Amino acid sequence: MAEQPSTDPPAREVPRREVAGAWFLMSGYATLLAGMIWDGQWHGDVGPDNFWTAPHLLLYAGTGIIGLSCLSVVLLSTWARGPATETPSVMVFRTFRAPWPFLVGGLGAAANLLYAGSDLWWHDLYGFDIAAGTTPSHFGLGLSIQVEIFAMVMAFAVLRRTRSDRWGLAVAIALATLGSTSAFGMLSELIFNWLPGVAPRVLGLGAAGALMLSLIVGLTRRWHWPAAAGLAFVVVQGGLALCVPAATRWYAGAIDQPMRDYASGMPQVLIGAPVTFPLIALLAAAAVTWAARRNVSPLWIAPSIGALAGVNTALFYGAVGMEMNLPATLVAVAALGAGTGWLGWQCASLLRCFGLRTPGAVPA
Amino acid sequence: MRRLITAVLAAGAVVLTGAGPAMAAPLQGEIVHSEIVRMSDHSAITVSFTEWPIHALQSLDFTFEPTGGIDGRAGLVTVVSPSGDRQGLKGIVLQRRGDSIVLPRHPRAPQVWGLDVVSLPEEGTWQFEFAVEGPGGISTGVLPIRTIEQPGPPLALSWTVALTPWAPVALLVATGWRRTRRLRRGATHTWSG
Repeated sequence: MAEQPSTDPPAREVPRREVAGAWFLMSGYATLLAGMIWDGQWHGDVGPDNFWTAPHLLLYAGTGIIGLSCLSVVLLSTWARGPATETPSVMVFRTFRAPWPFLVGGLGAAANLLYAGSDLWWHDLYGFDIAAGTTPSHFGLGLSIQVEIFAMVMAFAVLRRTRSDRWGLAVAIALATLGSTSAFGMLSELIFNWLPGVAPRVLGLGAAGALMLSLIVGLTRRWHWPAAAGLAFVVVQGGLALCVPAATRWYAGAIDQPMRDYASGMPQVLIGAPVTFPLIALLAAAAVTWAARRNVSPLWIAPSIGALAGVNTALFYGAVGMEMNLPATLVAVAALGAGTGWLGWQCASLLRCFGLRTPGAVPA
Repeated sequence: MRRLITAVLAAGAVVLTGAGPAMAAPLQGEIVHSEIVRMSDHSAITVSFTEWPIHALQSLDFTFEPTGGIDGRAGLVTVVSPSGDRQGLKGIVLQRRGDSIVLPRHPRAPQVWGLDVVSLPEEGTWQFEFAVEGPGGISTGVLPIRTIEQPGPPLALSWTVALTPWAPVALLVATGWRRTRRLRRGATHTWSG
């Protein structure tokens, strides 16, 4: 893939512990996401479960990897000799030097495990019906996982020095787009339930797609990387669609649980996030090229990409039969997507400051 | 004589094992209560529960066993909540025809219809409106089911405890956003910046 000469600020040295930490953080989140998607498929196709089922163990193993990775980076940063890292850091208890992405990731993992404990109590009390709607413990779990997602994106936003760093960012954005559907869906169902005719879940998922796409556009400012994020999304969603239903059938057989009467084996991950998202990623790439040539301000393009991601979400869920007033939902999700696209660009501008060589240019 | 005894025993074993699944009550050891619903054609449906009394929000399994079995019949149930929602029972994998749920076979008792791991989220009297489509036409019947108070603390308290830790997080993010205003305004909003 040919790339234009970079006009990024001069690359800085990032300690190896932070580079390795970012990749470990992402592997932890990928494990967590696989567990979460598998758990959703299991609830649909089989049903009964307990805290110790394989999907749950995968989910919590991923959280453990994230927590331990972040803790390791913080301890290594604290004990490191030589000049301190240029990554914005904070002193915790006046002792531990914690680079922000790993502090956020560690707190997210700790909150995730605490809410997992409360979730266990909840299910002891009420049983295992997750169709009852969003529960307080699931809501806390969803938000904690979202914090871990933001930490992963932050960790790669800080890197961006080499091609592999940028591929890491593209994969992180793909994972984040797929994984953010959970918390964004729950949040929007809580916030936007009053809007007549509008499917609140579409608003949340549209906003998630808009935020992630405008983040990678704003961080890289090249057409290659939104396109790469779209490609990574196809690989992640396609891989999960192939493996998860098969794993569900295998696991149900292994523990002698019958499949439900209506279990079709249809991969739920294909409707968990719009499969058409990569097309929007390609359109975003085209928009970046066009705007760079015509010198159109990114402050127009980022909201437009966000609105497009929102419209795509509404059209996709309209096509798969979600109940909604399509025109009303289209208008609402386009407005929310444009706003989230603007927010993504602003956050990216802030995160780009993390990559500057001059320590004085970053927030203390 | 020995042959005769062996043959009788073998026949008995065949009858017992062969008849086993058909005669066995669904979800033996799990069902704690049953109700009979009289249908419009004078047939009946036995509705069984794995929890009784039913607490709001607590998940349980239902089985539905029409007289004469489920073969050649289709069962529909419309579950109306105390507040009047005709799709009051939500499930992940439920096939619907309008407001009605098309009853699936119970996963662990495929000889009857059933719903596994579902809950009735509201306290009060629910109406289960049945329709069974068979060779003789459609029969209908209604079963009122009362749910009592949900277990555990009030939902509002659970939500408050779960959401409280996020208040300082929201405050922190808002403060950070305000403090970085100068930085964001100073950032270059160009494609090469």
